[in-house]
Amino acid sequence: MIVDHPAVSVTALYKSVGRKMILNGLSFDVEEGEVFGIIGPNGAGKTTTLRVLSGIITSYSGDVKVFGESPRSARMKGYISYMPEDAFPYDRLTGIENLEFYARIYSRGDRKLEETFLERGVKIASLGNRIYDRAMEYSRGMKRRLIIARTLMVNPRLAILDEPTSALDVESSVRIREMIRSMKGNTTLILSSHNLLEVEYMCDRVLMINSGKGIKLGRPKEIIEETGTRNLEESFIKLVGEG
Amino acid sequence: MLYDLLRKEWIDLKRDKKILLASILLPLFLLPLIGVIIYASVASQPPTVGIINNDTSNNVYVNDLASYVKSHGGVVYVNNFSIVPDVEIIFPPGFANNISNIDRIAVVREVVLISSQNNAQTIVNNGLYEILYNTSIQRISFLANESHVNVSPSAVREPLEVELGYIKPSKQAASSSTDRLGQLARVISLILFPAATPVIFFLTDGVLGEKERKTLESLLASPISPFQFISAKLIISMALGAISSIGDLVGLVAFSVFAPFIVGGNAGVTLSFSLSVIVAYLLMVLLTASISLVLLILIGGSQRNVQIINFIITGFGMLASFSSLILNFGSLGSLSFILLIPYVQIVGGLLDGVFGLTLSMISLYLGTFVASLILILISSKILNPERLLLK
Repeated sequence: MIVDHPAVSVTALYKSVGRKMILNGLSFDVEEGEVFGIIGPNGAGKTTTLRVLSGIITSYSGDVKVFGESPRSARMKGYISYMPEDAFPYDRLTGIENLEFYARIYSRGDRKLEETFLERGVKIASLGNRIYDRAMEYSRGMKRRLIIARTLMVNPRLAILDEPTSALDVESSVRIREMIRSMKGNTTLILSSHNLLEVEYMCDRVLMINSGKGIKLGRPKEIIEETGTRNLEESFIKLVGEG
Repeated sequence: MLYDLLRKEWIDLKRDKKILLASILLPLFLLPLIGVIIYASVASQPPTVGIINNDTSNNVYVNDLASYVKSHGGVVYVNNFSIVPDVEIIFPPGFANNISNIDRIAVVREVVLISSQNNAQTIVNNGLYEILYNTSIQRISFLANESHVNVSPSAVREPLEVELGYIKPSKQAASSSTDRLGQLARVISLILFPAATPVIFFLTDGVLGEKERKTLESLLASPISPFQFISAKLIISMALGAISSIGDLVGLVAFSVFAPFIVGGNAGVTLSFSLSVIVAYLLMVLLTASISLVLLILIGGSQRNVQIINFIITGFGMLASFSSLILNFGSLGSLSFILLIPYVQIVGGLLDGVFGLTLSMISLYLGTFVASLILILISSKILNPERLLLK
């Protein structure tokens, strides 16, 4: 059976907290296997959008579908894996125990699948023998690699990464970018980042949002051409300034 | 999945030595420490009695009183003006003359140090009563001899004898050891609640910790349901509470060494009383977990809200501890609504068991159990990921 729907479909998404409107009629689609970037200034609604897509925020108006289903049911089926901004591992657990925990959850009792996830996680984290040390002994970069490995090892249909390389050194950022690129095609990836050069390099398409509204959607090159700028950073400044 | 969550929580918990030590050691030492304090106040701080004798002819009475006080654990200072005793007795000049004269009243002055040991005054008064009793028997004997009347001086002196008995609120006869058991139950009620406090901490800190690490968001986006997540926290926090209760119960055994100093004799702890104490502890843990859970979901698990939750639950816990000291649970009558206050019903159940009100005890225990389950059920109905994350 051919299923004809995008991986993610968001139509007229509104979300308010108290009197503050966080998302103000946001609409976009993400194709399966795509690396999709959401960028915007602080408080634009990036994290809230990612939380809606991951099924954590459940009270909103508008239509949101992940693989044709509500994000809540997609979450329950284990399609979605989400890495929040500034996430940390369980400090008192070793790296391998952290991975093992998530592998068990996503494999749902399938021991073979659990082992596959775990092997994959160890490979992605590439921590060597340090994987057997407690996470509290890791550097920030090592912790981040572990978290990304935890998110991507379960072979999710949709991986959501909020600021995957924030506050990391150059070497760690490059390694993580390579990790994400290696997932391309098998997994639909949605990420948000303040590093627009990184987004330009990694993403197939980009959604710029400001004050909860989408202000530009397209391929990075197209956006740069349309705005007559040299790179995505300049396009962003121009569009957000206008928006 | 619940098993996986519990396994993770267990690994995390067993490596958190500080919380384990605090949960087990604090209750383990709490009761024996109360016992040590009471023992210290009895053994290391004996009641002190000062006797001021202004007339050497009073010596025989001064010596009688001093002997009595010493034989009852008191320390006596005669004509020592440098100390401030708990009680001071002043024998004025002519006391011996007055007390040995059948037609006169002898006077002693008693000065009590404020906030001193009640025990000192009781011992002194009993010592003086012995002097009074012996003197009045001598006077009655003298009068009987003079008037050639054949009477028993002690019957004339004490025409009324009180036979002390004990009764339970259920009107069953009770022994003095049951009365002492009631006193012991009140002391246990005082320290029941502290054993449950790790439950509040672990449940609220468990959720708050997941929020701060941002692991909560990853978990809520995974196939784990919010109820499974919260159930794991609930189960592990109750396990911690149960461990803490074991510490408390071991402490209780150590405390029983000191119990005679508090309740004035062997309390005669029975198997049914021991079981009732264990049930009370477990219910305290369950109720604390369920109240913490419902509050956590209703008002949210921010740092500030966690403090509010602690404040609310600790307030109720202290109220229950206080109620055990002042309320007669056996005959609450129209005040029965007090039993609706959280934790008070557990204390009431424990005391009712001692009073022989078995049906009431079972009702209160069962009611607490059912109410706890209802709170957990309500929590599961109002729980959703957004509430857990954002509130």
